[in-house]
Amino acid sequence: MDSSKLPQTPKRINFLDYFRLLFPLVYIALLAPLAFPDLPLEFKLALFLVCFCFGLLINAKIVKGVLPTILASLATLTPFIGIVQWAKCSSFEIIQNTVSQCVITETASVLVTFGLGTSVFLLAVTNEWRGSLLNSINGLRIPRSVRTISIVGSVLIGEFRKTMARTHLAFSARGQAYPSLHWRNFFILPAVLGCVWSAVLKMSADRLDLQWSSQTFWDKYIPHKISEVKTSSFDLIILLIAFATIAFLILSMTKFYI
Amino acid sequence: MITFLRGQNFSGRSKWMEDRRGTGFYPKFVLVNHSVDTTYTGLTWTVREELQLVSENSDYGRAVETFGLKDFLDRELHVLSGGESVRTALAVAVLHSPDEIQIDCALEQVDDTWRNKILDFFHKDKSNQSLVIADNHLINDSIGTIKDFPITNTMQTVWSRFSAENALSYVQKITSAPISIKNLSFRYKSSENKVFDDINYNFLPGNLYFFVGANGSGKTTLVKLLAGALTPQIGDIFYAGKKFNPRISNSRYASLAFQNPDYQWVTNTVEKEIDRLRKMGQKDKLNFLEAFGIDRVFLKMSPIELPFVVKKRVSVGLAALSGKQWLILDEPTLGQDELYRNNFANFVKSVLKMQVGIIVISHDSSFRKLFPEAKTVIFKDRTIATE
Repeated sequence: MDSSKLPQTPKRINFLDYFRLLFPLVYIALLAPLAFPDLPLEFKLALFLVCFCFGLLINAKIVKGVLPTILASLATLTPFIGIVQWAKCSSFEIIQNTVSQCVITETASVLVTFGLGTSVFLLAVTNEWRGSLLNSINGLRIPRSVRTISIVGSVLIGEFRKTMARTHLAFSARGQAYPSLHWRNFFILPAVLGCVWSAVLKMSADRLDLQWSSQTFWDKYIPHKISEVKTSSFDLIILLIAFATIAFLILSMTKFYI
Repeated sequence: MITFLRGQNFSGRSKWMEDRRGTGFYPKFVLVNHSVDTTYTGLTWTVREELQLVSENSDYGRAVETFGLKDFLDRELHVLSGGESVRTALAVAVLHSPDEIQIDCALEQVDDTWRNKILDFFHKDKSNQSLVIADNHLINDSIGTIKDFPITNTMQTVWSRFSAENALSYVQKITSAPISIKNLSFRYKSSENKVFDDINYNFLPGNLYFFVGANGSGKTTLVKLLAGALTPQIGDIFYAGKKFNPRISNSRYASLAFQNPDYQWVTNTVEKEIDRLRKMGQKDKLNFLEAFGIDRVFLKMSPIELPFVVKKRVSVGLAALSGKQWLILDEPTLGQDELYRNNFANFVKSVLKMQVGIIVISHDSSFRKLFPEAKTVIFKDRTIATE
């Protein structure tokens, strides 16, 4: 008798598979302190440092790659937050020792909150990174349609990055001025950017015609069955940090309410 | 099995390949054309990721070795040089294991050594995979069969109107100033290795310079540095003895026609592309197109929709029109037939007489032979030298 025709024995679901399923909740648990403004700033700062250092330990390359963007956004954000907090602290309703002390305390609080959110996001990215964007998204336990949209969306973001580089080349090729430094170019820059973007999209459309229109293509690269993602020792440590965070939150709340 | 398609531009070779593919052809047919991006899956960022993906994490080492990808495995796909891109695309095509790989205007960008190795690989390949190449320069009846494509339309009459005299009337009479490169070193941020290490060179006006070297030896990088698209980390470039700083200099000295002409369009019609460079009447624009062997019907079309050979001609024509002291042309004869190449060679010789300096990157040795008086600049081991 052909054994392949026999009904398959249901595969036993590994406990670790369930364990991985918990991970979105684990990251949310690490973000939970953001919902409690009264928590000590020192705790948020400590958690921020732990998450950031642990993310660095898991995959320093990704953290280093994203760090310039984060620092640039911080450099832009800090003065704005300072101005807003200064306006808030200057108003007579808020009584503090001095306005400057108030601005420093309030600004630091916002920045630590921002830093904590970013560091948890970085930790999640470094821990879920599976060598490539495609593998990472395919490794997530989300429906295939959502995975497909995520992958195509990421590809288009990448294409836009290519557009920026090509716009610079297009300007240079004409022997024209450096686009960012000459005011006249700011008027034509949107039109040029649109034109280059359409050229890049045309290439994507050609690819659609040559490869992406085929069902075989998507079946090959975005499997219907979610690929197995093995748990690592990092997962266990992240889980422990999340437990500790939740425990601290519960203790703090008990202290507040008793 | 290799099939060479022999025919002039617009003889229907690309259409023949398209008809052969039909619809719903993936993954039986894979096309590698001038825009190698369409061969990549588009789902990855680096060469290694792409190979891993297409090979489904099986061994892709043989493809790396066959197509010589080892030195740039971790580089991003969109920053590869022309030849490197084509070699990567061919490796990807082979890993797809299609019934047929079609190469259209792509292998010309690969240097002689690797081109011969690749053809040898396909010639000796025992699999049933067939290779179709539309490139007149590579035809070799000892390793494959030839399929001829006679001219059946009227485009040929337009091509023949490319005349050096007419085209020359659109080049401004500007005597070029010498370019000096002093102690220049350059390294891409994404790479650990330097492309150039302390190079010095002088380009003199009214001369023709051919940049020659293996894929990835820095030919296009130097051209981008001269055009101001890149800035040297160490060392300087001087135009007419004056230090060139692309971030400050409002007026550039060189115009550039890229290897991939799609990199240089800034508007949505050929007409607007001309307008951006020089104001001229409708009749003059049509004459300009014909002078460079381009049919009038393309004037109102979007440059990205043009056939590749026409794109190349438009990009070269626009570079000539921009009126800069130096004309830098990256693979100007890519995909072009004998007729255009001979006319173009006459045009280049006439421009040189106007004391405009010209720099040409070309892997086309038969085109280079048309200029015995030209200086050949060899790119090797992170340095450059005249042959």
